[in-house]
Amino acid sequence: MPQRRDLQPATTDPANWLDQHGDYLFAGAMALVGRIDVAEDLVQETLLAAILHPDRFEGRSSVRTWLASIMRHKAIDRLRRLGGRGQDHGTEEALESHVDGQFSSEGKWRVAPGEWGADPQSILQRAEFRAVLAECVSRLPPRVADAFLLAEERQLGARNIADVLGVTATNVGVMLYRARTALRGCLEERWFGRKDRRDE
Amino acid sequence: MTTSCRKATQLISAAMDRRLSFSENVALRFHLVICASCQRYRRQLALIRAAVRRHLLRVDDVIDSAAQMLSPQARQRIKQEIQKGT
Repeated sequence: MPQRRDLQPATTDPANWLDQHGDYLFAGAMALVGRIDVAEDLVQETLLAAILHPDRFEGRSSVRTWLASIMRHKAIDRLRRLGGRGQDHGTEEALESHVDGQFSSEGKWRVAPGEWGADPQSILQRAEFRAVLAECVSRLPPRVADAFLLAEERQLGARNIADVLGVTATNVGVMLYRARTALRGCLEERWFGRKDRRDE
Repeated sequence: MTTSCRKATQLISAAMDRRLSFSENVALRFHLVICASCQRYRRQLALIRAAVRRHLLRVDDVIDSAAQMLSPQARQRIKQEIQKGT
């Protein structure tokens, strides 16, 4: 096979991305979705999207980080499509009332946060936790999930996120608050709640 | 005036994105001294941040075995799809 050599350095040549980043993306996809066939599809979709739109790579991160970010969004989109039925707060209005509903009119917890076990840090080591976390993020309304991921992923401040999403910084603060509160509840229910019957 | 749990949780979230004002900070600290539920909320939000950074953002630490590599068949298939698609 003839080697194509453009002016681009090899690392940014899209023709090499499958070889250079394929295993990395696949490992990440497995962590997010846990199934080989789905993970392979995600890698393919990610590389295709990236190769068709290389102009979207801003050069602010490495190509690998950029590809991982595309894949994360694709994985979450996919979970969102699958989760159509289970979307308890899929719209921003529903999320607002879901979060408001956690407090009484005087602002007290209706159901106080539970204790997350003696060593909650240990979840950071658990592979299955990733899938639950990704699923909980996918249940957020799309724009709120984007705000949340921008805050955590790029560690962007509220003002930058506001620029990206075209809303006010105050609005971003509200979205992040609701995202975190809903995620906390989702994890408590889906991960920590599950621990009560782990001996089944 | 006392700070409600609703207000306290809003401040806890805000503190993850910006520096709180002096009065916000005082209000939050006073509330946390007396409220175990909001202390827990704060710890859990910190854990969620750590988990998102570690699990959703850094995939590096999961690459540990050959089982995590693309199979030659899948690699070939993806290569063909990319050639078809571009």
